[in-house]
Amino acid sequence: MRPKIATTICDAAPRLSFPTTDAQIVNQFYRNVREALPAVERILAHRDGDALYIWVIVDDISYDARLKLYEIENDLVMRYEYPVLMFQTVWRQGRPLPDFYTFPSDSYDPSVDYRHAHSA
Amino acid sequence: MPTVPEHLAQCEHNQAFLDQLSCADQFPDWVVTVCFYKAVHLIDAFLVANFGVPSPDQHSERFRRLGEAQRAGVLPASVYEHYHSLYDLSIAARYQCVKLPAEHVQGAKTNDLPKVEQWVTKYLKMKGRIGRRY
Repeated sequence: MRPKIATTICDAAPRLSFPTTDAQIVNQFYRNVREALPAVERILAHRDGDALYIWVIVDDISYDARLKLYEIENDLVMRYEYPVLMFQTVWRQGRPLPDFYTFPSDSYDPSVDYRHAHSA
Repeated sequence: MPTVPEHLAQCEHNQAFLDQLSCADQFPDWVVTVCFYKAVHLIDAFLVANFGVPSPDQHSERFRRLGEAQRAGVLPASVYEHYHSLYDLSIAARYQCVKLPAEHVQGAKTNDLPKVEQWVTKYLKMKGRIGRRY
């Protein structure tokens, strides 16, 4: 069972103001990661200027799984010229996420859209 | 802004420091960080040689140019991915206070950094930008 994390962020509806192209990129990434890497607990994204920041949250992850993650990330880099995609892995190592990492409060959580699409 | 030879000199300097880390097991965070900053100078040497413009002063700009070089068919995907691995480890160790498992530190030293270095060295040689040393 996956540990419960980051209850303060993005558990409500997806941000309507999140740009459509950005959402497409993040949703595609979420689907690819969800299928290939069970170690990934959550994905959050935020647009800041020309850069789209995507955080990949894991409790722990093997070296080989990380390399697979970069492959999936790179697939998007190859596909989307704009915006600049900045990926960052966030390692919990058993720590509650809010204790050591702060995300923008309006971060986009692709799992909300995914659950919505698959609950219909 | 630094030239290709200046980036390569800094790269050697960082490698010399890495070689001096006799108690590397106690400082995996600094091992991966030095590996990353050696890779930064290798990547910057490539970017300066490839784009003919000053090296970037922000990681986001560096990643943007690497993406561009990939899409142009110049940079192999694997180099981008190994560089990203080093970037991630360095951030995790320094800012997230992650206790890096040995396999990741080993991977940084024996796989990620050598893969970046081998390709950049080959590229710069092909472009006639480095001498015998590389």
